[in-house]
Amino acid sequence: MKAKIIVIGDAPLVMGFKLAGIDNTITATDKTIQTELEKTLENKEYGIIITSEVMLNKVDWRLKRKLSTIAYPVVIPMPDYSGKSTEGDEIRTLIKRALGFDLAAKK
Amino acid sequence: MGATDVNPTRMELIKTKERITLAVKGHKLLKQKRDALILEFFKILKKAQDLRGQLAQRMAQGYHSLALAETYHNMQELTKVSLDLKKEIDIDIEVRNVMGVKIPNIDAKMEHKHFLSLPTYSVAATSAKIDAAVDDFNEILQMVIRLAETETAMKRLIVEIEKTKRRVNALEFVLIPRLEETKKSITFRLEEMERDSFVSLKAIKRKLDKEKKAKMAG
Repeated sequence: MKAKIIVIGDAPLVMGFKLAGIDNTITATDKTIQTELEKTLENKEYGIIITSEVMLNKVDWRLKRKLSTIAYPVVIPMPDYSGKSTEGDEIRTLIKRALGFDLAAKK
Repeated sequence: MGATDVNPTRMELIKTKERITLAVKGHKLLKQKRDALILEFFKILKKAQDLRGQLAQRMAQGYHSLALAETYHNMQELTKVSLDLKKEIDIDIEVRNVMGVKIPNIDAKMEHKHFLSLPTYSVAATSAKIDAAVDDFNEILQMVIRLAETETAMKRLIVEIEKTKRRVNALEFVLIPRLEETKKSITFRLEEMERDSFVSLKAIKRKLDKEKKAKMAG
């Protein structure tokens, strides 16, 4: 399936990806992120949604659950300019819980 | 279902035995599913190789160079430059089904819209700060596309692995032992009842014999 990339996020994130050559961008705020994401999910043209991790935490649990179960489109949360990201830790805890050992600690 | 609240009948025993064979079969299948999922998971994990950590670092750097570019130029100028940078990004997303888990398979090709791979914005009107930001975010974009495939797949797989593991363990350590317990108690009760009736039969026979002898003597 042919797909497009879309960036939904705060101004710096959007600007950065614009410089990387992506023209489908939506500048959202904490308040509009919910509706923007829902609208984008309905449009099957977009296969990869790049969004801000901080904003993604603001959406309600129903949308969050939906995002965590679908395989298409792929939603990628990005760290904001403070550089803090809990996404990697999240996966690590999941792995630890499912496999019984910490993969990162082994390396 | 406790071992005590079933009727100790032969029918119940047969039913319990059937349930045990079914549970064992299911347990075996789920175990195979779990192993297959874990195999797939490690395959993807090899590809992922701490992309998240690298991305966070890159992003911090990207934001930094973007902020610098913004101070040297302004938002309008950056937007203008970005218009010249539009790329044809060709992504092919296939949804693959691994043991009932849907994971995306991404095939990405990136082509510059312009025939030159060199910057297509004015070199004279912009500074090296913009170049740095553009380079950083180009790299980030490539990482994101790689990450898109592995991270989602990993998340979906790991959740399914946990679920399957729970089921396997529930069958192995709860359901099957409990059924075995029920089977044991039913067999025990049945044997006990058999012995019971055997003894009472003997007693009756003895009584009848006694009566017969008394009659013969009398």
